[in-house]
Amino acid sequence: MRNLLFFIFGTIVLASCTTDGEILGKMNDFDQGPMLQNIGNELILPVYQNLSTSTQELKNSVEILVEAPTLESLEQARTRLKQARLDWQYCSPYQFGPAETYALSAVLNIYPIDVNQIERNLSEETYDLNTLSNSDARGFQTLGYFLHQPDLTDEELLAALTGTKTDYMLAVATQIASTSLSVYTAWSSEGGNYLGTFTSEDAFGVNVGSSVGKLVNAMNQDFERNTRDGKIGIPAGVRSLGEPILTATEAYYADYSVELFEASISAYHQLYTGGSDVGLDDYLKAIQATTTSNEELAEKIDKQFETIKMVSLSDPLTTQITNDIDPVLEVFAEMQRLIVMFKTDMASSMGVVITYQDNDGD
Amino acid sequence: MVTSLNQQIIKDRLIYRKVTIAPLVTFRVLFGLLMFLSTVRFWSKGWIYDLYVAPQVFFPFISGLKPLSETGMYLIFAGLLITSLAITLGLAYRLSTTLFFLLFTYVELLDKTNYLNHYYFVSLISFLMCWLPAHRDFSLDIKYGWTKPLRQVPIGLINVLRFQMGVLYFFAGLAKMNSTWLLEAQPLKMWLSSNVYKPLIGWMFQYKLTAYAFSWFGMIYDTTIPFFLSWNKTRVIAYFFVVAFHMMTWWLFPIGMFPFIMIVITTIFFRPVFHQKILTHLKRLLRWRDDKSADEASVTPALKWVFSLFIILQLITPLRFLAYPGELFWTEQGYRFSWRVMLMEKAGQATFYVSDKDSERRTMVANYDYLTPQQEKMMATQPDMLVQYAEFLEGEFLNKGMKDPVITADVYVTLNGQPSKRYIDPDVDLTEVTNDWRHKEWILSNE
Repeated sequence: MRNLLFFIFGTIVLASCTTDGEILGKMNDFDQGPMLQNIGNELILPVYQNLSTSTQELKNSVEILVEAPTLESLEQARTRLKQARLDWQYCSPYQFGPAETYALSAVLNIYPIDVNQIERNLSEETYDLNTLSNSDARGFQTLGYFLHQPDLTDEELLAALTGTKTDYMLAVATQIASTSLSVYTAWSSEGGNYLGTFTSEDAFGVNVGSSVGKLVNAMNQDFERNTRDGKIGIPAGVRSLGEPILTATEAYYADYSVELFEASISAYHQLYTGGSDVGLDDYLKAIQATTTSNEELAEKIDKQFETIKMVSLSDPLTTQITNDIDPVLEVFAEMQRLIVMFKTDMASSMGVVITYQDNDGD
Repeated sequence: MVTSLNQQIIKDRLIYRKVTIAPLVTFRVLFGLLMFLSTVRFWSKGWIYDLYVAPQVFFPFISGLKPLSETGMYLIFAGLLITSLAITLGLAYRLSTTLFFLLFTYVELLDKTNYLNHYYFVSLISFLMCWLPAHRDFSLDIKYGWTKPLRQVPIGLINVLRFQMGVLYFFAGLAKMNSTWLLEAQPLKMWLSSNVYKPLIGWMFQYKLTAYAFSWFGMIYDTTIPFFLSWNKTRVIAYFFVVAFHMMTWWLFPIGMFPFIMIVITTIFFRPVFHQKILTHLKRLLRWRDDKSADEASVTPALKWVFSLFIILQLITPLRFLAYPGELFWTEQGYRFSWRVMLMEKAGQATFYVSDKDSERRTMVANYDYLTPQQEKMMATQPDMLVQYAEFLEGEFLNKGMKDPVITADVYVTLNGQPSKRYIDPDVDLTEVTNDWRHKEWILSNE
């Protein structure tokens, strides 16, 4: 009885000292289940399915081009390549689990490519695209290298598509399609059912190995390296004393780099808002009570996405960089602000562990 | 006269009174085994490679200290395995303890990224072990006749270990006496709320009151447990709390071997006769025959000096933060080596810029080109590591042909769920600042 009184007294004293309004309340009512279900079923699975379909169509279109090199089949292959690249942007934030196992990102979207290595492969006629030495001689950009040659007219380009080149293109397209299919199959419930793992109760929480932990770490890493640096920063010369490196642009041989970049931003925005259902923003708002100002944070991040989208860039990005670099640097700076919010405020208030190792948190 | 008599009694009870050597012997056996298991675990997780071979950059505690080659590092850990077993067996004890202490401490000094309070604790304990005669019974050294057994030791030799445990707990508790921990229950609110999915009692973690209860209990537990463990009447119940507390932390947080180390070696607080009983059982089990001859142990002047100095340092070190201006958790000046365990949630993002002096053109550094994710995370919130990274970058860019690299950093840090703020002066050239124990004026305040 005395202990109980002491406990009640203690609680009252504490409640009067603390700045915490409702000390007897809940920290949050958030259930990760629906969020993971939504992100897994409505965002991740469909985008991998799209990628799998569009890379298969890309492969088919390359086959048709190889068999019948006409202006139409060339145009068709180019369209398919662009579609596959656009679909890829929506998969890029999810490079964990099966995508990591199959090194999807490294197979599909490496740029800049090593043109010398490609030419060496063409002249030697024996190559294995899976080896390390060919890691910069495959993927979308390599197909782009064959399908878009600004110095050649389309007729000249078609005429130059000899047997070794067409074999190479087919090998690259086949690798892209089969790797994409493998990742989709591994996610789908009829295949490896990684979706089940991702949404299972065992993977709730935020520790190493939890779904939220993997998701947040993967998106932070991809956004920083690929969206901020790869698509914008490196071509604009941010990492080379302001000297632009135009050849490092994504889709350098084509002319839709900005379109790909915009798709990437909207992919991230979609992940953040959860599309039409529960997303990371709702998670942040729900854990408001455990931190100081998550309500604001959730809105701040949303606004930051809008700010990034407001900056207008136009294709081709190389021309934009050469003629008017300021908006490019501006969009870079805005992405930098977004990364601070992702990596500090968001990761911290969710308690996501940014590491693979035990530590005692000090 | 009375006080000097009292002093005499206190001195006798704390230092000189002779008790059985058994507590030191069981401590030796257990500590060696724990270290052996910890090293096996560390090795099997591939951390030797991940932490000491793979990284390109290191953040040593002592400037210039570097890891050995890959083979060298594996040999060091092999050395830890061998010496920890030798400690348990009491084989070439003085040599094994000294080597273990040196090897272990060397590894810990290599990279601040991997600093953990419990590694520091292991270094300290193994240092003390070098000086303690824990091999003078039930050891291979005795069996081979390399040294004579001791039946009894002055209790001071056991108390110095108890003191070390006590210091750890007490200062850990003291550190929790701050308004964020007690009045806002942060960061436990953030940490516990993500444990709501745990089985059985997970539901508790959706309530704020749980976070408050854990915060207050943690503070009271840490500050008082050394005293309750020291007192005969409360020891059993106190040890029950030790086990419960550490199992709870193990279940809730990713903290590796630490809980088990604490649970096992807190037994040093048990009465010497208890250890003697255990030791007698062990001896019977292994058919150990006691030698008739025995030495007398005493507290030599050398020991007195070493332990006195040790104790003074242990009392001062955790308080050195008082000498620095600003908020300790924010600046982290005087934060390490002070038993501040699981105390704050901090995250940061540091972007480094390099330009040649007198040049307008600057370049941004991609941290991921040089650092592991863990190094990047640790570096972003700890000022001395920011400077060390800038030193590394200076070398890189000198090699690339810059004449006088100017290195600045945009750093944003969030502490205990507050919105992130700018952490250091973005204009200060980090290659020009001193990085020692003096106050770093370029850290911005957390106001």
